[in-house]
Amino acid sequence: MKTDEGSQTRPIGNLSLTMKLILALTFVAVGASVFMTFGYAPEHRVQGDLQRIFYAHVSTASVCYIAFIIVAVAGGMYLARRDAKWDRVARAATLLGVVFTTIVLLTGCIWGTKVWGACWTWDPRLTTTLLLWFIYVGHLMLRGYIDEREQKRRIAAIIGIVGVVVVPVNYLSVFWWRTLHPQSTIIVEGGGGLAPEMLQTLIVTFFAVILLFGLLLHLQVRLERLSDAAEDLRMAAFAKEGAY
Amino acid sequence: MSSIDSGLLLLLTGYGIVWLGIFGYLVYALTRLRSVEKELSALGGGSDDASSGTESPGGD
Repeated sequence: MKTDEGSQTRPIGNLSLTMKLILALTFVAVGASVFMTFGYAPEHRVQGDLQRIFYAHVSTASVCYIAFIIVAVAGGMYLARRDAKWDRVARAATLLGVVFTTIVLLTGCIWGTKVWGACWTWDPRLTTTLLLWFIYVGHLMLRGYIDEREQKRRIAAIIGIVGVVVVPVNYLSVFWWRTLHPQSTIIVEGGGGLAPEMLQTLIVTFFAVILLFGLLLHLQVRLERLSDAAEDLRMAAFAKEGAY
Repeated sequence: MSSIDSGLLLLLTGYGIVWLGIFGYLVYALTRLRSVEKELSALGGGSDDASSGTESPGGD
């Protein structure tokens, strides 16, 4: 039986020094992000205070892309090597991708309610985001429906690889089609992009969200590993009982 | 309620969703981890045997 490198899992309370540092950095970054969002970034001339939701909305949306790319890469690695650890990474990233996409859809709805006068519109960016959400929710549901582990992992890996095609479509949708959703305003050629304070706030918020995502991914992968181990032990105990 | 008030209210709701969503998930993951660790101990595996959850390639 192949063992995972570094799989000697400590109890949750006993975090390594690196993890403690990352945790501390994450909380500092989250605090800085909240302070900058409400106390440093200037108020938008047209949208007022509500525009401040932009920093969290854009940061979480960027992390969704990262999550779904991880799902595809880990799925590819699983198909190539048939090593269960890659499936666990894909599973964890899928779950987190769904959580972050839900946040993006909800914050977008709140923002749109005020700015567009509608929570939802069948705009290409919004529609492809919803499509991403459905693909990865379906991906998670499918794992629950298939009993045979190897088959489940193989099909999930294929869906993860195929599903990632929607990510560039989602990103480019605002350039390809006429949309209500604005194009990138972060860097605009010839000026007119974000004010420096807004850009700094966005960078700090993105840093905070990516740190949180990394932390959650680490925890979720560990949880998946322990869940697999518990399932193996349950099956072994069941087989042992059956033998007597 | 004035439009400024409603804008601020929407902003706070949005921020609540973001951070409650993320930290709520963190709490969920930690709680689940503790319960799986307890289950592993009860099954006699112990956390250090978690590597038994990593099968040989292709094998379950």
